[in-house]
Amino acid sequence: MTLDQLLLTGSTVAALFWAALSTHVLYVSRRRTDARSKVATILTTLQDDALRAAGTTAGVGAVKALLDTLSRDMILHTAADPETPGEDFDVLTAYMLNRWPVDDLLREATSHRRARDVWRRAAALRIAFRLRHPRAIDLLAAAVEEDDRDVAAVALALLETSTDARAVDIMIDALRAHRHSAARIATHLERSPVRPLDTYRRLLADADPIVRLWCAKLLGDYPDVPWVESELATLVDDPEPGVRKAAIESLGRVGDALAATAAVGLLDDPVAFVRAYAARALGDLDRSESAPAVAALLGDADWWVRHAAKQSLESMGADVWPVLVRCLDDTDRFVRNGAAEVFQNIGVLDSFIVMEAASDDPSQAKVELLRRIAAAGGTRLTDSLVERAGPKTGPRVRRLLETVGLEHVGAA
Amino acid sequence: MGSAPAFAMVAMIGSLAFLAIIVAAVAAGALHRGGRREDATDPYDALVASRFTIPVSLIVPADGAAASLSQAVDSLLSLSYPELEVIVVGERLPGHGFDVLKTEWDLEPKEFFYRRTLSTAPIQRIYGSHRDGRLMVVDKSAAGTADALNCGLSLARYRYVASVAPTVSLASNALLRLMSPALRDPAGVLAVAGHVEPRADAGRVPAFQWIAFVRSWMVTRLTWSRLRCGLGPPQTVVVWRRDALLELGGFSRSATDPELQMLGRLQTSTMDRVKGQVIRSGEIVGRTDAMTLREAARTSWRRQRAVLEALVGLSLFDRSLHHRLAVVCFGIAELLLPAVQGGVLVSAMLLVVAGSVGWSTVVLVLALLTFGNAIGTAAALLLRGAAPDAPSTSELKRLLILSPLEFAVYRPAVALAAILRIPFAVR
Repeated sequence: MTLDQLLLTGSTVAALFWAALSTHVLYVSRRRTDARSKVATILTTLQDDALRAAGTTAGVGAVKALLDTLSRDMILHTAADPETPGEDFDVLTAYMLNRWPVDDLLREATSHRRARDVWRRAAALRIAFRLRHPRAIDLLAAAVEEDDRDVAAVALALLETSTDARAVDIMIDALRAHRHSAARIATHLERSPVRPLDTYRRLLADADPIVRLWCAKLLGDYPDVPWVESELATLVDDPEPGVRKAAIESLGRVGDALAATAAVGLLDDPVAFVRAYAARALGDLDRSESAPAVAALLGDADWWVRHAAKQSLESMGADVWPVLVRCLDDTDRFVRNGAAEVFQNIGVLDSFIVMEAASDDPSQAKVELLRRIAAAGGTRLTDSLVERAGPKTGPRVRRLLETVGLEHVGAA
Repeated sequence: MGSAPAFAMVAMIGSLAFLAIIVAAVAAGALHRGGRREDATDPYDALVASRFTIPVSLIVPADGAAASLSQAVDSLLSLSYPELEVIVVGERLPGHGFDVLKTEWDLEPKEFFYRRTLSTAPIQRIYGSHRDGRLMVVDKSAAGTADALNCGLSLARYRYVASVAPTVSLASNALLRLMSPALRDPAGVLAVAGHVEPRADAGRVPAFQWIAFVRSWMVTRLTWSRLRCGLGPPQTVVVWRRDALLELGGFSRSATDPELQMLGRLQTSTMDRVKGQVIRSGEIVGRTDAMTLREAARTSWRRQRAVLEALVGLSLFDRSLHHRLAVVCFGIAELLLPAVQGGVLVSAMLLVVAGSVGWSTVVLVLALLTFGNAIGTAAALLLRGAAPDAPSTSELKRLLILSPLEFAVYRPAVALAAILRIPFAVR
């Protein structure tokens, strides 16, 4: 065989294979479109009020001819779709269980062999749960205990909607098992209709710090429960910094005086993120009387703590300005910068300077304060200030800054 | 026949055999997986409303010409994600595009003291938005994309950051899908790269670009999803764990593609704090406009340089089997296959010049390569047809008919545009 003959044969085979594969692609696509169109017809038919009133058996009778032409996978998928209305789900599952034994469904919900079968297991779990099958919760528990994160995610999402107290126990066991992301499990616990307050309370003393941490976080959703604040306050002395952080974060959401005292205590915590959360909690609790303690953190060694202190002071509002004034002369540059930024963000700087720029005889005391803020903030702070003042007032603001020699200062 | 032509012929036949093996493997993989349902199993309802979902900072590096920046910002801030911030890092921003952004988002210059963890070109001004407190706009001196990303990285408040080009429009749940591996294993995931699909609305050039995209996406589905390593596809959106990037000193200003290079660096780092997985996800998270031929030529050239740079940095020694497989797959898909295809054609032409074969051989080689490539495209379309938002049957038909032309017409046109610098504005 010559080279050209070899190439001709190869090209012909490739062209034929391409044509065959293309035909297969179009065939699969058309089958999929047909199946979807049949499903749409079935669901439209089932929307008929009279048919719905007639019950599930009548519904199955009305769409049986079409359902007979669909694959089991397609029916399984449609029934498992959370957007399929309840009545339609009843019809689809009644048909399915009549045609194929329930054991098939339970077997699919119990295990899967290949990654591509995960969707089928997920669908089977959804259907078993929606059917309230007696084994549904056990199947979900088994799914959560597996390492497969896709299957566990589906099971947790179903458990989250369950009113069965066992569902919460399964999720808490999963939290303890450390097999799946704790944040993910807590997300589902947070949405559970079962409010397992007593369980969370008991678990605040659990030996596992992960369990304590997440129970403390979850209790942040219960501001109306009287004991939550005092129970969370006991965790501010926890040996695990993550638990202290979670406790103070939740106290910021649900607490009052006790929470504020705890937060002030944690401003000196040896761990930076605990200090940051304590500062934020005081802002959330709107404790402006604690502003001096928070302002001290503007010079913290850790950048996130300084950032949290700024946020906290800003959320306390304009009342904190006397505290900030004292910070403007601090020996630490970070403290001065932070105070100037908070001044800017709470609006005090703008209102001061616009008023003084508009006046023919600006108050020397206020001009001096402006000078100190501008010196603490630096060039970009003053330039931003001039730009914010707008085209009319901006030039007057610039002139005022020039009079105090601050039109171009470097951050002090 | 002399020894040189004989060698060229053996090399050509050997290369064709290699290409045939690759095509057969791809087709077998696609037939094995293709056509089956690929529904997402991850329920996002809980994540989208939870305060426990990890927040993300979105960095948008924008050049001065980004006229649609305001729309891009709007779409990012509308993403279904519980907590995010958008940091637009512009270079020499003032201009019409910035005026629109400033007016529409009620931007106000505000000083913001931040930790300059990475050194970048000087910042001129920082703007906050009155309309949406989650938006920050930075105007800085020009120093390239890597510098803009590093600036955003320094300003970002959250543990994960994503870089999003302003020309990319993300699907509403894109960030949740992209973050899904990180949300499942926050301690173990360093980066996740998702695909960006070119719009194939009308015209042939967009269709050819879409065909190239879908093949790259197929490679992800067939190989990368099984490997615990990853290097980004040509058009991508990546979410990064911020602390790992800072540990490595941020994006390199000298890299052709700083993000691709960073994906490689993350996987070869020996630092204790940079331990974890880089995932190339099969998720299609957004769309972008098709490029002109000239842009496509420039992008393709840049990509090949970037791939070479990345491969140079990725050692095969002292690495896990997954890592080695990932490097080999990446090298084959991105460099070796196009090089072998080009080499086969060049060999055939050299044989013609040497008088060993006639022009009919070149035509037959071209036909073989064209249909081999088209088989790869058909295999990719089989997989894509089973994924969410698949093209309609009529659209599939159009793409299948065009698929042989992608190799025979589109690629030579792109190569010509690159070589002759023809100002093709064809979309």
